[in-house]
Amino acid sequence: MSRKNKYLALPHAREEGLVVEELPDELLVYDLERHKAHCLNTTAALVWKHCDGVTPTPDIALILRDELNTPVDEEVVWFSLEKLSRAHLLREPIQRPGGNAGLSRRELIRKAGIAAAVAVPLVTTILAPTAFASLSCGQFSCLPNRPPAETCPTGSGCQCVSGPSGPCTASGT
Amino acid sequence: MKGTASNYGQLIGFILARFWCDSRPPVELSDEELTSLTPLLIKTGAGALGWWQIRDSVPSSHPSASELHQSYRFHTIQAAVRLDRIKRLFRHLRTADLDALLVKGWAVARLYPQPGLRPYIDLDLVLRPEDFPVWKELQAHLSDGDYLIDPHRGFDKLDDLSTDELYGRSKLVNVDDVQIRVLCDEDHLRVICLHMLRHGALRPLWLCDIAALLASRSEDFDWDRCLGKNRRRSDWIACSIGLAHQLLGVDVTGTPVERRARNLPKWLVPAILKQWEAPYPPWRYHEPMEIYLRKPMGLFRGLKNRWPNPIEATSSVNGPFNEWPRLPFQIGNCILRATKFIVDLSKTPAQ
Repeated sequence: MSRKNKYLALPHAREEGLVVEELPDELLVYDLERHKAHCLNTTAALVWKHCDGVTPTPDIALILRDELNTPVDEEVVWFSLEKLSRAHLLREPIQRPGGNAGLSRRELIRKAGIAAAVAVPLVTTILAPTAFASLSCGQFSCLPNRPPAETCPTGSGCQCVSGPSGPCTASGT
Repeated sequence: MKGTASNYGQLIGFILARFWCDSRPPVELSDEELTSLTPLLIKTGAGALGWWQIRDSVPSSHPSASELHQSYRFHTIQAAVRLDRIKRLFRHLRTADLDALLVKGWAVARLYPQPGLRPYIDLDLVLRPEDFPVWKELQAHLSDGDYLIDPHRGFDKLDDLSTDELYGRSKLVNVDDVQIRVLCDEDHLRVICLHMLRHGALRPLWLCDIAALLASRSEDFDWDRCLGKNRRRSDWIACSIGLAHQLLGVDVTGTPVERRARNLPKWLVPAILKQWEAPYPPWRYHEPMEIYLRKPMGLFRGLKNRWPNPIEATSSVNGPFNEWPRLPFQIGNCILRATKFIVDLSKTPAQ
């Protein structure tokens, strides 16, 4: 195995610049550098937690088998790693040895037969809820020549944080 | 209460009621009601709390449940990020020997079953007036994008009591290695009640804040300290608690405000429900008043758009929460604002 492939087989989770919040069935991760939030389901979270830079992918599959109490194909680990890599949650981007293309979700279910016992690893980006993001403050502009407290409409629950003529934002008081 | 009311404001209250309780009856809503309420909840920042309330009674595959769940995830991770920043901020403050105090926002979110259920954006940071120059120096070194801080020079705009008095009664909350100063529960409850009324009770979450503080109060909660000596203010606070009692199910039994909480002015509950049904009406603040100087015909439309709700109007003119019609207070509020507008205009140099 080349040096590159050896390294790629030992995935290492990123730790710097992340805020992690654990929920009962999922893991939320906020990337402070990219200002993106991700939600990892149980399977993806387990894989990510065991990416310590010393455990090879077949061993991660075995750990998952023990923790989930069901056989887990290494493909599940690779599928997770690809998702985690795409979300910049690994120290280095990861590639399958030999450069094989990744499986689709459907192919994974067919090949690894995980539908019944193990959830398909999911890493989804959490977006601001549409209605919240379009909270009416965005329609106001900070008024010029006013004291800071009065640059956005009084009583609108909005505040000016970007200077005159910039957009108002919700003052989540 | 069952989710059969046609009034969306009532349904919002129904969904959010008793959010602080470990065991509560499942929230029963029709598909149509949930679908209609979801954008209202999300818009007002109550989406996460909405999901918390329906999580055991609505299938997760329901599109509205899924949208509310996403809101919960979003605000939960945001809360973790913000707490991280608050801790960093307070470390900076300690290094600069500044003893600042946090009000509203995180200070009340920490009392919810989970902090992400009560989203906030800015940090209301109160500093003693004499510390303000040091704060300004420190602020210049803080990254703006990291901290949306609304600094207050003392409590002038938040409460009648002196800054020294409020600081003297405040308390320190330990968060990991950081100590964060917050108001004592009695003062905090008064401040958030008055804040809610001043802003016309726009957001359901502001009433939830009152409920969270009441539900978490200690047995030795000092009601005299909370209600203060000003009889009118004291009645306002009792009415705010009454709203939390009637709309969210806060227990007021045996408290000094019990009688008042059960007997609110008849206009008060409908006024808040109407406000919740149309949070931030999109037409309300579109045009600055200056525009009407050039287009006087639009003045009536402008006046209609700026017409204050009865709660905001009453508190702005220091009026009583009694059974009298609210129209005089609303007119009074408009006169006050118009006067202020004219005074400000006269101070603006001609262009």
